[in-house]
Amino acid sequence: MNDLTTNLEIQIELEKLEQYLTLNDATWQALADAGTNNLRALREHIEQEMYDQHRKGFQHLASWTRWLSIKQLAKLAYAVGAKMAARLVGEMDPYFAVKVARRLTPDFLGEIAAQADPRKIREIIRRLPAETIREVALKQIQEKQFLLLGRFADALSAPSIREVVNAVKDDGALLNIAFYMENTTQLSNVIRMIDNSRLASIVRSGTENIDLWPKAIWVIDHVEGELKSRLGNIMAEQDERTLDSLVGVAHRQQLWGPVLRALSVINPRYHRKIVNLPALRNNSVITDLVNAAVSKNLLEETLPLVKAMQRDYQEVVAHTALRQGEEVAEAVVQAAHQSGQWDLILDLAQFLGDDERNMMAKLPSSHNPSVIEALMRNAAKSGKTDLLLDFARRFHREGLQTVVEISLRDGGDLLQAFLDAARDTRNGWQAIATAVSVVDAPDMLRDIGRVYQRQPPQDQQAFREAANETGLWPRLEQALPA
Amino acid sequence: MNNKDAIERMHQRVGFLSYLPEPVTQDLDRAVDDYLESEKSRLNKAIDTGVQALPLWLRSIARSALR
Repeated sequence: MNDLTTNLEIQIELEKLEQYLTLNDATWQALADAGTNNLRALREHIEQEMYDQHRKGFQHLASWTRWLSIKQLAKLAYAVGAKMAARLVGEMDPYFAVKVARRLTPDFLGEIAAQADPRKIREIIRRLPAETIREVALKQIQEKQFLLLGRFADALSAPSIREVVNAVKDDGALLNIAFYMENTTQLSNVIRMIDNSRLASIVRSGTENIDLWPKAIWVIDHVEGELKSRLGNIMAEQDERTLDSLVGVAHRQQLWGPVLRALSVINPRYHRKIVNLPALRNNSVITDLVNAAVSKNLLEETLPLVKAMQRDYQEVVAHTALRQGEEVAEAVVQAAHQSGQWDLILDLAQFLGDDERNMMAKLPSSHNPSVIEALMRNAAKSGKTDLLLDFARRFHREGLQTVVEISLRDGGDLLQAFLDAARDTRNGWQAIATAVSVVDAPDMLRDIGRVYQRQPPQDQQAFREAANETGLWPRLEQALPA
Repeated sequence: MNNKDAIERMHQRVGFLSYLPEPVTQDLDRAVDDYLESEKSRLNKAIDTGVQALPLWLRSIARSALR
């Protein structure tokens, strides 16, 4: 049943089903493909059918047990055995069941817990003394019953959680239990009760052991808000060698979704350290990372990480993203636009070759006036107007018209910025002349003429020559203000 | 198949099973039937042994309840 999926949630559900079912490989694969929710529904139905066997009979029998004393019931529990006791206790009033349970040994309680319907004994577990829970947990940990412990951890009271965490010295065991918990709100509650140094030790146990690392990242991914960043920061504090090997695991096991979500909430001071790890200097790793960011809708969170990368890493990211095709390139542009991260896109665009720039200029977003305006204003602000001019000459007609229209706003401030840049840019004058050559409207030609007349004579001449080549000059000359 | 009703209920309630190919469904039905059957047998065995340990007055009640 191994290697059917890299999705940890599906893996957990398959593991749970494996306790009950013996299936052939094709069936396991079909189930793995069905997704977490479907698997959970199937597992819960099987459990329901199993626990429903003789349920009415046990309910009837439980109603008679109230005639017995607590002492007699405890004695009886041993006599009937764990399986029958588990079913009976699930149908008893939790108030009495707890009184009986207090008289049983931790070993026997563990056996009962393994046989009982978790939904039925949740209330009993919550009311058991913390010391009893601790003893049961220690015994179950010894037997590596993490799946069972995870299910019952969902029902533990705050004092019991503290008692167990303090008693269990094995950090890896605690991580395993957390991994199998089903109630993520309770998981966050548990994590909140653990002090920082112990938490650091537990996360470290995950980062130091490659088998545990996916479980650690799963836990980090499933806790709430500020806890996610607290755990993520602990992870990020590890030395570079450890983090580098974790990147390898994340890549092999396709854990980029949870990793990116964790990285998006860690302290930005760790970004530089993580995104420049040697393991990331690999095309296939970067490809997976980019694809995960797109498919998991995490591009906005991923862009700040790319910003923290060294230039050579950024170059790999830029080429890799474009290699994934127009859809990915469009998603990146949209994410940058939504989150106001145009400065990064302009940085990345500098690395692109001719074909890549042509592709960018033909993206659907280059038809969007608000995208074009944001691109132009950011290019002007960051002094990358030469880059914009290079893109402008690749734009389609409507895009160019929008560029000119926007550049003429506010008295032509943006057009002025581009003219200033044209002086030092190869083919800069031609790029501007090409862009403005699409203009037919007399009022726009007049506005262009006004800006033209503000330029020094040598710039006017350079622009005139370029405008002549594009056929713009005769129209512009006519429109020049007297 | 000894747990035909349980398996029918499973197909009614767990929607995605209807999209699975026939051989997969057959294998799954067989495995669920095996599991429920073995659990039933273990539980019945536990009941048989357990009932003997009950006080006499409760024994007949248990026998008729868990028949």
